[in-house]
Amino acid sequence: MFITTVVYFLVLLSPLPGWLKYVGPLTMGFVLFVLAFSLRFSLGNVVADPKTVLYNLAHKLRTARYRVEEANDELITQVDSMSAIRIRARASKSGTELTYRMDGTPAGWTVTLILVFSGYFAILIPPVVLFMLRRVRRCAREQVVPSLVATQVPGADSTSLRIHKALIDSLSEGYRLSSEAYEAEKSNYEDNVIFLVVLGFLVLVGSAIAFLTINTNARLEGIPVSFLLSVAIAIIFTFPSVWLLRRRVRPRLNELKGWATRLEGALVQEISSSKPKDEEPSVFELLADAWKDVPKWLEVRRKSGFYREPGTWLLILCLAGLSSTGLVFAFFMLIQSPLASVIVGAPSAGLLYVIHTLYSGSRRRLDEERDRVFSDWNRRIGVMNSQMEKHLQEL
Amino acid sequence: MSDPPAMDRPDLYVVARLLERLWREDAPMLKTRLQVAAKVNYDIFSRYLSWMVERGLVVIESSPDAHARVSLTRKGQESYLKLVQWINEVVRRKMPGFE
Repeated sequence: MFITTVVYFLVLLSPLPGWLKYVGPLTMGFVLFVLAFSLRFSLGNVVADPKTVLYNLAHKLRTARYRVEEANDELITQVDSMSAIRIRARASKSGTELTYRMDGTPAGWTVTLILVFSGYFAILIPPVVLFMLRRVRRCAREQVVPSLVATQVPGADSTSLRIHKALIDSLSEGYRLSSEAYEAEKSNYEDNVIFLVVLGFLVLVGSAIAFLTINTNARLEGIPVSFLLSVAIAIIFTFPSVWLLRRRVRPRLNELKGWATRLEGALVQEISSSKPKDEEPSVFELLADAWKDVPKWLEVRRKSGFYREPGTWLLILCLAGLSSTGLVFAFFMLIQSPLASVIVGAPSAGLLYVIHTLYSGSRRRLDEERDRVFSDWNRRIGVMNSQMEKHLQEL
Repeated sequence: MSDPPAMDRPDLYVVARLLERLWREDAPMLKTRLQVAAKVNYDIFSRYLSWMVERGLVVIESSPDAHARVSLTRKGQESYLKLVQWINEVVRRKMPGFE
């Protein structure tokens, strides 16, 4: 990886023709990107079955306040805002073989994919990807490997310790779900603000052109007035729309942040084993109340298509850019060369169909996921409630 | 003092609140402090306490200072563990039949 990076920068500094300098680093950056996200490193062997190893490891990482998601035979742990580590457990002759590879958070994927598609900025891929890999390897070395020692020790925990562990795991998972929902909602809100600001800029440009066109024959002193009017129109459009958006989204953001803060606070208290005040709500109640809101959190994540599927959405954006550029060219070439206009315009129009297919596919996947998760969640809550009530009756 | 009337259907939250509060204590807890944690009035609290004593979840100990103290029994601890484990299984999507 290091050698690739050195070669990469040597190519950049070399006296090669400009296009080769661009294509070379771009290709190498892409190769580095693929390698970094697909290479798997060993963590070692543990004398226990994979399920136990993953369960204990997840608990250790949660106690160290990492956000851990449990998949089938994997743990996905967020290392920082950009990178995550995927730890896989496979049964081996001596127990369980553990390996890991780097993964990105939605923010990490967005940044790296933007760099991949951004042309000359692709030269930033190696430092960004290497930085992420360094953080992931450090987490593996300093957090995961020491935690593995504890997972090798079998033996029954005391009832009290089992309660403590179960509370930490539940709080940590609640914190993960609520904070991910908060981040998704915030990201959605920021995207909408950016969209409104860009729209405001377009209103500014559009109204400036309109005023200047009207004032073509006017005196020169009319130009600043036209410009000021355009700015006023843009401000009148942008500020109230951003304010309205903020007013609509803020309560939801505050609610999500409130849940994340409460669950994180309870998690920190549980990890430190400090005693709560007598009047404080119990962790059990906090968790039981939080689970009623989980479908809402999952819905927030579902709505943030870009946050959940950054790859698909970046592809849609790139194709939309290509298609709109092609269509604009086709429009201007229509009078001079109708044949060239059709040659450029037809594939560009075809891209619109591809975009539509990609979008509806993404939407369908997310809708199906929501329905599946909602019905699964409601069933689980129902079963849990009836089991608890039955347990109380049978005591 | 007469025994409080029996309860038909205890509220899961109140029971869990009492069990959790007692589980966190290293030593038997003063009844008055436990009532604050239970967030119910004295009558209701007494009913819950009797219900829990009858089922062997807690014991009331009299102390030399004449203040009654409550502590969690092994059965009480296991009962709370069961409640917490159910929540944990639901959260971690490990409940049988859902994987």
